[in-house]
Amino acid sequence: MTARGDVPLLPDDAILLHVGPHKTGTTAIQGALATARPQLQESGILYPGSRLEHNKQAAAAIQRSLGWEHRKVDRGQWLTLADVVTNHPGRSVVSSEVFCEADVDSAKQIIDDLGRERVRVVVTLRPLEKLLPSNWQQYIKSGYRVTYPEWLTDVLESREKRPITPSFWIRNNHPAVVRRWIEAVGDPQRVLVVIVDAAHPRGLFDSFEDILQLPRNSLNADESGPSNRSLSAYEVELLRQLNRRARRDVPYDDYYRLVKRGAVRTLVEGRTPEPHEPRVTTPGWAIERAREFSKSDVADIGAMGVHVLGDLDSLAPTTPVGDDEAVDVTAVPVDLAAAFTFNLLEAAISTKPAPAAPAAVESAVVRLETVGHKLDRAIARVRRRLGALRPS
Amino acid sequence: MTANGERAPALPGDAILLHVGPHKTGTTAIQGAHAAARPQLRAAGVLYPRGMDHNPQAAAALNRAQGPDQRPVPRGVWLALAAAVRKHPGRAVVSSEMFCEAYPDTARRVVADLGADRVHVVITLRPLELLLPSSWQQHIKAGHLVSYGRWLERILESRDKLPTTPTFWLRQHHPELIRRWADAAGGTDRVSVVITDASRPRGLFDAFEDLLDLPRDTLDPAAAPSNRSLSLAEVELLRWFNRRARRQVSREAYYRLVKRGAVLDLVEQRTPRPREQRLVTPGWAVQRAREYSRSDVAEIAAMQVNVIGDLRLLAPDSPVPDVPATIEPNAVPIGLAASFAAELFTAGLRAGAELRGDPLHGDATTAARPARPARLGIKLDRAVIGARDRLARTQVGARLGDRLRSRSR
Repeated sequence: MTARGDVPLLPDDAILLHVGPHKTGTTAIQGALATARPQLQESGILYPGSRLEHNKQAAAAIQRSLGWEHRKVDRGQWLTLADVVTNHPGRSVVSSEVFCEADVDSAKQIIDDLGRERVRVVVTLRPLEKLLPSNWQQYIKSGYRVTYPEWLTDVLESREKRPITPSFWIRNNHPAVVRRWIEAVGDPQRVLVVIVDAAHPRGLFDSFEDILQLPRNSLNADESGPSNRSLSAYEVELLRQLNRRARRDVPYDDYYRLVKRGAVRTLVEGRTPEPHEPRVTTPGWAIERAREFSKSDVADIGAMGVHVLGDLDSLAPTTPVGDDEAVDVTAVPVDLAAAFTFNLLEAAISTKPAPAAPAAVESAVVRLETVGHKLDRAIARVRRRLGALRPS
Repeated sequence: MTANGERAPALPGDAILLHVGPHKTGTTAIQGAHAAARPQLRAAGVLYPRGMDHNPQAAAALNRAQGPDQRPVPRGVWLALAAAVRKHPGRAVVSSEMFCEAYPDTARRVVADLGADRVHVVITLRPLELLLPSSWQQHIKAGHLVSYGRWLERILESRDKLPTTPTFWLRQHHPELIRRWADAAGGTDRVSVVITDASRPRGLFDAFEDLLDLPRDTLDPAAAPSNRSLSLAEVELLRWFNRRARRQVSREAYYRLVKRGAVLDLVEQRTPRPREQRLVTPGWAVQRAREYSRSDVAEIAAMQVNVIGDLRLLAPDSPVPDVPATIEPNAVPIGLAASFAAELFTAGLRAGAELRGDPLHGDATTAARPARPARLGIKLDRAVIGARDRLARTQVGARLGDRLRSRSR
């Protein structure tokens, strides 16, 4: 098999920094790298840690909160990873889509932490139009209530204004992401853009194998993990309507944990949508609009002087655009409604108590407990007296 | 039998009117009307002992479980009511549909507890075919999974076999019900049967006013909160949920969160969409129910009980609906699905800690997170629940300790 596109020769001690963005096959490549850890080690390549990815460390590096934890991750976690990687004499791979949100200063700091000379940055890209439904689903899973058409209208209006979901263009303005990392690493020749092509599902793995000079089929889709299928249109609409009703009644951390990581995950793993169940479809006008962005992106990125693996032009598809409308869901299968409700109830009932409360609440709790103990003693006294009155 | 507008004869001045149901014959409405009219009843010398209905007392009399924890109610609860009624010199009303499930011995004891010479039993009846959908709904609300079609088949097959819902014919075999209570009360002249008439909703209330010698319009049909039945989609959603939740949710949790929680919330908060289908009984089942009803009408007419209203209404002769089978929708309106899910989720969160036991035994790391009003509320809830749990445990501990000490003495 031939190498795909413009593969630069990596230094023997290169640190490959894969920065996403989201929904471009990151989970797939991370799973493949994690599964191949022993084989990578044989080739002298370090994929540090024991998890699939390095999201926690990336969040620590850019000092961003991750998921439901409203505190920033300790920067030490990142520095530890950087330490391990810089002390490894051979090549290493660090991968997290969280990096794509780094601003230029954070990105520079990250490069400095890893050692400017050794770092090569990999950006994986897919056509914008393909990223739309999965990104919206992700936002709905995180508790947003906006409908797909409303969200599309808002997000696609302009890349300059702040959308309902502020992270969208930070992650998905592809030329801007590439430019930030060029500036951070100081040389476009140290940035590699990998184009993910739906027509060649193995292409992503091939590209990483080429970059790391690994034999073909060293990296493979990880089938061992739980299914991570996308939600059907019925499922995502039910979730959206739940968000409308319940999101405000529940603290965000509980919501994230119990709904996204709980009931929705159980649904995805436990339920198989019926064959005729519709998927989320992007209306034609939104695809047209996305392609306008993509066309200019292709030109932009092509002029940046970065290495491109795969077909850059495929980022702006030219297939005919249908006149699809977004699916209007008015009813859902009764088995779905029942299963989802049960998952939610189960998650709610079996939830572990949230981490300890802030000081003010803690003291209120202690006070209540004191009152409880006082009541306890009072009741015990009354019972004793009543017991004494009772004829034996 | 009385014609429209004519008053039925009143019971004796010291009669104890014991209304024994059965279920789904307007009992909640009649009970609510009595409770709301307590001052007027008192002025007329009629006692309606406290409570909306007398279900807890009836549960005690029948040695039945009741309420969320499904514990038997102590017999004293019943005896206290009986004592209060006996002490009252004038007329009194005791009403609970739970009495209709009493076996002969229990029924006799209930009568004896109230005073056999004063008791007069009232049984309210509706056509069997109208009792079917609401009875099945009740069965589903109690956590069962059987479809309406199968339930009808099993129930209507025979009145002698033990059907899917064992209590159904205990409650709704009307001639036997009358016979049980006539035996217990000492004769058919001690039983009145009130026929409810869908075309004359006030008839039921008129009948009670007549028996108690009260002026017209003392009892208000709208006094009790209306308890609309579930739409087809609602009850099917519940049934599917039951299928999913079977053996995974404790009885107590189900009662509190589903029956008294999400389902009640649906009934009270949601208005079914105009086009939403109702539960329809298929023609064959209506036919079958009418066969029972026709023989019941003849049997009851021969019993010499006091019938208020038109007995023949129990066996309607309107055209049988042209519905070959029950409809089982495979989709439900998304708003319904989401409301039901949201309600059970938030209710589960509120109650989860309590159902699980002490929630405060988490790890005590002190991570500083922003305090939010909602989280504060939940924390406080949990703290209160936790304190209460500890209280309960200590009582148990104390009781055990007392017992051990007294033994060692």
